[in-house]
Amino acid sequence: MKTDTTQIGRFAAAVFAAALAAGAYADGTVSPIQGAEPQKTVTPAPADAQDALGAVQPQAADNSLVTRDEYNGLVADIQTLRDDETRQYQRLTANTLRYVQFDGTLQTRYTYRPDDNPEFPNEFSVPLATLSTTGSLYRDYAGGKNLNFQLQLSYSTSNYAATTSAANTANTETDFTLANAYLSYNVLPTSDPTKPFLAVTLGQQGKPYGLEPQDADNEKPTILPAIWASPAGYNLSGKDIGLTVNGDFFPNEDFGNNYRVAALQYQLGLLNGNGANTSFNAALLPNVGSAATAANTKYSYPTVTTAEPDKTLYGRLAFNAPVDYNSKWRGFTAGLNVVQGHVPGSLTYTGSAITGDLQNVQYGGDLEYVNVPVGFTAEYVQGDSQYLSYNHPSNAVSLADRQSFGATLTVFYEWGQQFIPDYINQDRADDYYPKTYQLFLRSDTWNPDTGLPGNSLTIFTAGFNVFFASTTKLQINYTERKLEGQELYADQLLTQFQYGF
Amino acid sequence: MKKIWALLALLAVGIGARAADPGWPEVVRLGIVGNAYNKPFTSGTVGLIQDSQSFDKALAAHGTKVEWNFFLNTGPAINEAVANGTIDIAGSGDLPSVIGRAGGLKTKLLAGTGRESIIYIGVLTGSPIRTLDDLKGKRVTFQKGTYLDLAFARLIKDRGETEDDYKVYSLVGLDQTTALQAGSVDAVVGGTSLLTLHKQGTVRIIYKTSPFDASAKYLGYGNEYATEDFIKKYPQVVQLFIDQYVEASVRLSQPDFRQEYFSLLAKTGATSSEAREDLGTEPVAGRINPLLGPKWLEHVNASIQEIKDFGFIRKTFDVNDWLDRSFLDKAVEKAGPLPKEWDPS
Repeated sequence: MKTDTTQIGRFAAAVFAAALAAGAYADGTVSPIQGAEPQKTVTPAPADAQDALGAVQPQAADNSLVTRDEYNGLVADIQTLRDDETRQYQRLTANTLRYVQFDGTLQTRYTYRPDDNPEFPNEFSVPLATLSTTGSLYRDYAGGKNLNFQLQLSYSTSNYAATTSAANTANTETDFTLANAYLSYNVLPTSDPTKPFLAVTLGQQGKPYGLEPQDADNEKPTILPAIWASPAGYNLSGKDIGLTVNGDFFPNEDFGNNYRVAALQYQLGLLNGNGANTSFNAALLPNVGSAATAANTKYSYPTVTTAEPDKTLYGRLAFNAPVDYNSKWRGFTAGLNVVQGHVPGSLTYTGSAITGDLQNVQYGGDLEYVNVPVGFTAEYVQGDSQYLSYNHPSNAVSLADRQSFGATLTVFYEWGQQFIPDYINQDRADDYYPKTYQLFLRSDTWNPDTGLPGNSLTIFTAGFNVFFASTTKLQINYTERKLEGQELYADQLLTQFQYGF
Repeated sequence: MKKIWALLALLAVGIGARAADPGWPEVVRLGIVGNAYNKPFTSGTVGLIQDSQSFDKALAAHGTKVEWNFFLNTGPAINEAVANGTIDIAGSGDLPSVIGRAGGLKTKLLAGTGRESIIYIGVLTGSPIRTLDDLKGKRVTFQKGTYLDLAFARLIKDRGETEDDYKVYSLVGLDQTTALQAGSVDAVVGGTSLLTLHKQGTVRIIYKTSPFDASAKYLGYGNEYATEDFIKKYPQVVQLFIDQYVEASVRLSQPDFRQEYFSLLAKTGATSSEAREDLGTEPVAGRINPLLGPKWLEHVNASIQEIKDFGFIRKTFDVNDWLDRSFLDKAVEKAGPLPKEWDPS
């Protein structure tokens, strides 16, 4: 017992003394650089020689000559080392035909519902896991007219909002599928940032619409997507197959800050309109449903036939404040978006028939100001869909319109270094993880049919995010749902950890 | 009894890991230009301060940590960091530091650095390009927004040319030499990193500047500065840094410490032979002169005007408005005799 006490006492005394020594260091008025004398003789200094700098004295030059045998021995050693490394590399390194980068994203989540509703239990989940290969098929070092590709697999669980509890359960989908699969070519050179850019992308890819649908997962502040962007809404965050064009005009390059912004950006897309991993499927098109029921007097289609739809057109035009990095207007964007799809269709019921070219249009705008430390994003989408309708019991058939809209407003306050692009590109001996902290508030509204009462769903979210390491974030979001102003069902506290590699 | 000793030990550790003294920052964030070899070291005066850990140790006495940040994208990245308030004291080349100040960054110039930074223009060994006349119209690469950009602009202007007479590609670090070796560009405008390829026989140097001839006017220089906010809050930290800066410059300027200058460069990845070839017979003192005499400030003002004429900035400013020489003056007083190569004018 005495021994234990003595040892602990000695340890504590040593720690205490070290603490006192640290506090008693020179106050900085006596420079530690003064007083050192350089080595002038050939006598090597002792290995631990210290001067006022605290550094070991530079070892004096050894002027003796290297013999031929020593030199040949060194060459042989280097050759042996090189051969050994080459063999190890060939055995243990995966090879590819072209330059390829593997990366992926994983989300793990815990959802807590404070109202303890047995219909919606608290649960752990894995909402998203992706694995991507991105690579260069041709790299143009001088001009930057590169040909790149991406192949991405995705596992996702969608549990998006609906207006009733039963519909919410039914809307849970688990999907393991091919996500992105495209080729992308820079038509115009990217090596001169003072000139416009233009790239074309062919294959399965994201839809060129708005802000949120095109934000990368690691940039989104909220855990749940905007309803209008999700499969419960217009599914603008989903994938589709086709051709898109992305370009810009009037770039402003601030070389002194490595910052480029183009005054005008445009995106055009010609996509199938059926979503990912599928060719034309009439059952997946809007306004086409299954057999009618007597109770469903507005959206029932007894016999519907459709022809191959025309492709869906996408268009986006955005104005970015063409300012230098230090301008307070940096990060301001205003955009206009439009989607147009249509499919010829006909409906026949008990002798009445109608043929129509069913239009499905979404259009809207967005405003964004992303600066430090405050910013906001606002998006508005209006939908105008035609459908073939029959009325029970009159059996009248008609071409009808359905209006819908969605809107989000997010305001945030953030601080930290991670979102400074060049800040994370540092030479560091060890792993380096600058952090950014973010507080935000968001309002997300969705109304699938403005012609019907009681349809407007709003989700309010308050959240705190910590972005640490360049691909990792911890998110805590609290959501409250209201249907036409009335609290709908259980609030949720979502905690999600997302990381990329 | 054991518990009491354990608690005392914890208390001692707590005292040892104390917060910064009142009036001292928790951390001082330094911004330094990275090197072509991606090593977390720097050379010259600040390299000596880093190597000796003198600044770290002096601040540790007050519970302050030092964060060393080496930016791969060099001067422009440092400007970005300063703009976002993530750097307190920094050093970068003439062009980016002037662009930063002209763009509205609230910094104060504290000392000079990196004078007589030699520029090299290299081509592949088998290239038919042998002179600057042969280079006209060809594909040239360097990082835009850095001292190399300004030096090239000055050089071709004196030849009656503009950047439109060349195809200029902005690439960073090793991408430049990769592009050269891939045949995607014809020439690289760079620093000492080109000398490694020259030594390997891959690159032929067709042009280099020198402090001893007419090309001296194309030599780059650097500036050491701090944010106004940091100077106002912690002037004693800035004074400590500049004191050590001047003394390290004095020490490295001594002929007997010439080997140490090369050793510091070697830590950044440059080979000793590269460093020796770059310096030649020139004394180190000329490269690391921190003084800001009136003649030098006139030269800086002239270069600011030149930077505007080249279109890098929209409006000029007077370097005397940018300068806070109080720290340098005090440091020089304390430093004692200065190297004879340092022209105080």
